[in-house]
Amino acid sequence: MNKTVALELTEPILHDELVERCKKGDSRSFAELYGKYARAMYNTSLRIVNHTGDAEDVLQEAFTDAFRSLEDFHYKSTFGAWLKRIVINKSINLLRKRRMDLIDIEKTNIGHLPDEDEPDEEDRALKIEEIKKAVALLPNGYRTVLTLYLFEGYDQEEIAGILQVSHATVRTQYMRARQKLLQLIKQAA
Amino acid sequence: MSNRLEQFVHDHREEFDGEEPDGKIWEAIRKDMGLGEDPDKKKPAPVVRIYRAAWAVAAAVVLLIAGTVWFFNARQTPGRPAVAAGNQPPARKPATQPDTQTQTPGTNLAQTPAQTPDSGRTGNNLANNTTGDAGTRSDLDESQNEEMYHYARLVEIKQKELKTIEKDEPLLYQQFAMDVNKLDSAYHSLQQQLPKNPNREQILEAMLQNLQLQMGLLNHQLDIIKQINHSKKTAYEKAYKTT
Repeated sequence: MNKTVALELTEPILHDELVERCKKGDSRSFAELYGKYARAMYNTSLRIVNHTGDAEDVLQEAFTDAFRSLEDFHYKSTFGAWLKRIVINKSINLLRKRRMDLIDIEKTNIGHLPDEDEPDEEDRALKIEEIKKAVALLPNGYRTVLTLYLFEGYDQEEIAGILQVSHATVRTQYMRARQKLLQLIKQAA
Repeated sequence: MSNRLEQFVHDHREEFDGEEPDGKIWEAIRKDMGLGEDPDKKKPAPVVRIYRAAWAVAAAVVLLIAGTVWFFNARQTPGRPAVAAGNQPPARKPATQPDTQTQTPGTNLAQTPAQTPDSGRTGNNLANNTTGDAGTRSDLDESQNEEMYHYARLVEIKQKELKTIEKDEPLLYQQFAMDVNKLDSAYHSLQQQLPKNPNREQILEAMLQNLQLQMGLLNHQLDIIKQINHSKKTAYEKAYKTT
């Protein structure tokens, strides 16, 4: 009998107590959960949709959806990872709705870029603001792949799944996006 | 291919999340979800009062429990040596303890031992425990030890967590720590009695419950801290926005 008590008491440590309180409908916990994740999710969306108004719409929809479907969240991942996936899907859908092409390889001609990284890359320090500006200048497809890989930490297989393209496409597109980014950073300097 | 870009982003990942979402978004979500007014935002005073009330409740619970533990300990020690374990009725302190889920049939029986000859099955259990059937006793001890260890670790983890506020809220931390310490010292006095006391099972039970209470108290305290941090943050954000 005591054993079961012990198990019950360990649960909140494996589980997210805050999420559990939200599941019970505690409005204060919703606010807390929002406060904890809003900024990261907003930045994630903003990097993909590249527009503050759109990112705000995504943020609002994603949180509302997540809160409403909390019952479907069963700790297969952390709450943050689950929410982030919702944010990313919504961001990508929004780009699609705006008829923005998610694959840029054929269209964008950057054939003159060297295969290897420019040696210049080593010469000067990278700066956060410069990288952010350069990311915003990337075409949509490049930006999406680069963001998911570089900032959100998905591997190329996962990105292929999210974008529903082949693994090879993701790999080439990432490499090109990366080159383009470094080029943009250099140009800005 | 050099990974300098990847490494740089990885090392400065947090700094790339510098954009703040507009405060109106939360308002919109709140309305969408039909959530009540944000209590922190609209009227800060009641929040403080709620917090104080919660604090008072926590303190009261601790005092009550510490008191009962001491009371029963004091009552138990004199004039007990020759008495057999089973005939020592009220050693289980938590007459005051509300959660009944931890009560096991064996210990319930221990409270009314000789008067219930009809309950043969549980009577046997009791006999097993008290006559010291070596097998069952060590099994029992082992599982209880395991549990005890488990709780002790949880308590330790939570105490560490609590310690992180020592710098920001030294006064609050002191008060919190004082309360936990009261329970903790009760625990240690139980622990000291354990080797001398024939009523081993009951003491172990009491120790276990003590640890559970410590856990509960620490959880409560951590909740309070979370609330404080949250209201601090919103207050700061508000001040930041108005300037």
